[in-house]
Amino acid sequence: MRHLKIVLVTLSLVAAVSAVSAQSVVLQIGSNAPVNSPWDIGVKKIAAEWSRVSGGRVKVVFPKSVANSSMEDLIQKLKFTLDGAVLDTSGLGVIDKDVFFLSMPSVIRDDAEFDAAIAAALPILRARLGDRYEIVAVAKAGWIRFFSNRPLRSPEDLRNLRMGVNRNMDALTKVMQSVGVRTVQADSASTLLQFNSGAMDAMYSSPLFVGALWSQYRRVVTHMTGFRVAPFFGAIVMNRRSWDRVPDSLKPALRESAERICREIGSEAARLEDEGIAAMTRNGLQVPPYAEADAEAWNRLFSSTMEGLMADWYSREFTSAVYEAIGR
Amino acid sequence: MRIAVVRALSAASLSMCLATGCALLSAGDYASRAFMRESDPALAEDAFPTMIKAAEAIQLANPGDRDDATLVASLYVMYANAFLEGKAFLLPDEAFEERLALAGRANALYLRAAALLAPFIEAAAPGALGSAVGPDDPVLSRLGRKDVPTLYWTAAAILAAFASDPMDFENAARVSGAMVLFERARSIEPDWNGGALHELAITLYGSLPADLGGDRSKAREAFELAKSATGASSPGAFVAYASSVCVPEGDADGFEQALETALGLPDRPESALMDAIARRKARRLLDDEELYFYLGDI
Repeated sequence: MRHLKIVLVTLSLVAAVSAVSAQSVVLQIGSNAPVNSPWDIGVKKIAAEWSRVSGGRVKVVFPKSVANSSMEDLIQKLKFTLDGAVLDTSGLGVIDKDVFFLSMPSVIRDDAEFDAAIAAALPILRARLGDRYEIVAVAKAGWIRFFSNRPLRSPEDLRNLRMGVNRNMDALTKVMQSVGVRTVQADSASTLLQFNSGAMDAMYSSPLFVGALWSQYRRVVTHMTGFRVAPFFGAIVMNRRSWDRVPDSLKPALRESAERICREIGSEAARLEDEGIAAMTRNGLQVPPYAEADAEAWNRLFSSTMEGLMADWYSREFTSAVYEAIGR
Repeated sequence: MRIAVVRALSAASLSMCLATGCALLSAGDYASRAFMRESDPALAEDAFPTMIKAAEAIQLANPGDRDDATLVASLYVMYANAFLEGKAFLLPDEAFEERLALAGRANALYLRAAALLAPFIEAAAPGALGSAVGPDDPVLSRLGRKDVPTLYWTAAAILAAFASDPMDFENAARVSGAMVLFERARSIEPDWNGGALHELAITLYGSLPADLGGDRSKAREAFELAKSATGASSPGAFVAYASSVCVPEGDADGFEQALETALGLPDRPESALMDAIARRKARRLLDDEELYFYLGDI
C-alpha cells in the first residue's frame, strides 16, 4: 500500500511538471511595419526563433487588426490588450520622452556613437519603465536626412524654409524654430499634399521611406542632405504582465535571439539605405557634395542651439549618461 | 492582388491567338481554358510550369511579338500570385523561412514579367511608365483597346512586385507609372475580361498607401462595379473586398458577410480554378478572423 502511494505521488508530480513544461504562452505583438519590409521580416523571424528556442512554448502572433494603427494607437493597445509592440523612435518617445533626445539633430553622429548611446540609455529606461514594460531589443533602422525642394548645402539654407514636423516632437519643433526654420505640422498622410500645395519645402525622413515612395516624391522633392540628422531606430517592447507569463528559464534565450536578429535588421537597413539613396540618385535626386567642414557647420549649429534648450526637455540623468558614453 | 490577376488568363491567351492565328497558339488557348476550368488547384499548380515553358518557347521564336510576351508575362504573374504567394499565405507564421522563400520566388517572377513587357509599353507610348507621366498626359492617348491586356499585366507585375518587396527601389520608382497604366486600361475598357480590372482595383485602392493612390472609397466603388460586371458571381471580388476594405476599416460584420458570400456562390465552370483559389483564401481568412479584428482572447 505504501509503495502504491509513493508511485501515485510520483506520477502526480511528473504529471504536474509535464503540464507546466507543456504550457505554452501566446504573445500578441502589434506591428505597423510595412509588410515585407526589413522590420516586418525581422519581427517575424524573431517570432519563429522564439518558437524554436522555446521548443514551441512561446508562440507569437501578429494581430492584423493593428497593422494600420498609428504609434499612439499601438501604445494604447499595448497598455490594455496587446502583449507587445514594435515601436519606432516616435513611439518610444511617447512612453519615455527622454528617448527623443537621441533623435535630436547632431546628438548622435555615427553608428559607433549610436551603439554607445543605446548601451548607456537602455539600463536607465529599463529601470524607469520596468514596472510597466520590458524593452526586449533595439534595432537600428538607418539615418534621418533632410529632403527638400531646393538645395540645402549649409545650415544657412534652413533659414525661412518651411519644414514639416511631427506634432509629437515639440522639442525638435522648437530647435528648428530657433535656427530660423518655419515649422509646419505634418504627418506621413499629409506630407505629399503639403509639398504639392506649396505649403512645405522640406521634411526630415528616412531614405528608406522616401525611396519606397520615390515614384511620387520625385515630383516634389529634388534634394537630400549629406548631413545625417539623427539615427532612426525601433524596439520590441512587451508589457510587464505579459512578459512575466514567460518562464524565467526561457527569457535569456529569447532576449539573445531578439538582439541577434535586431543586429541583422540594423545591417540590412544600412545596406538598403545605401541602395535606396543610389536608386533615388539614379532617378533624379540630387545630393550636394558634403565635406568635413559642412558636417562641422551642421553639428555646431545644432549643438549650440541644443545646449540652451536641452535642460528644459530631457532629464539630466539621461543626457549626462548619453554624452558620457559618446565622449562629449 | 492574389486572386484578381488570375482571371485575366483567358483574355491574354485570346489576344495572343488573334495576333498570330497559328495552330500551336490555338492549342495554347485551349490549354489555358482547360486550366481555368480546373477545379483542383493542386492539379493546376503541378501542370502550370509546363505551360509556362511551352509559352516561353513560342515567345522565344517571336521575341518581338507583344501578344506572345503578354501571354508569357501573364503566366509568370499568375503562377507567382496563385501558387507561390497563395501557398505562402496559407502557411503558419512559424514556417517563416518557407514563406520568405516563396515570396522571393514570386517577386522574381513578377520582375521577370515586368521586364518582358516594359519595352512594349515604351514602344507604344514612350515615357508612359515613367513617374513624370500623369493620368492626363497626351502620351497615354496612344494606348487603345488592343493594349489593355499588356497594360493590365504590366501594372499587375510591377504592383505585385512592389507588394512583395517594397524596398526594391528600382521597382518602387515605377509604381506611380504602373498605377497610371492601370487607370488608363480601366478608362479604355472598364469591364474588360468580366470585371478583372475592377477586381484588381479593389485590392489596389484598398491596399496602397494614399501617397501612391490608395483610396478606400475608390476600392468600395470598384467592388460595386466588379459585382455589376460579373452579376455578383465572382468569389474573388468578395475576398478582395473583405481583405482590402473590411480589414483596414475594422468592419468584422462586412468581412464575415463578404467571405460567407464568396463561399456560398454557385460554381462557375469556366472559372473554376480562380474560384477554388478564392474560396480557399476565404476559408483561411474566416478561420483567422480573430487575428484581423479582435485582441486579447487568442
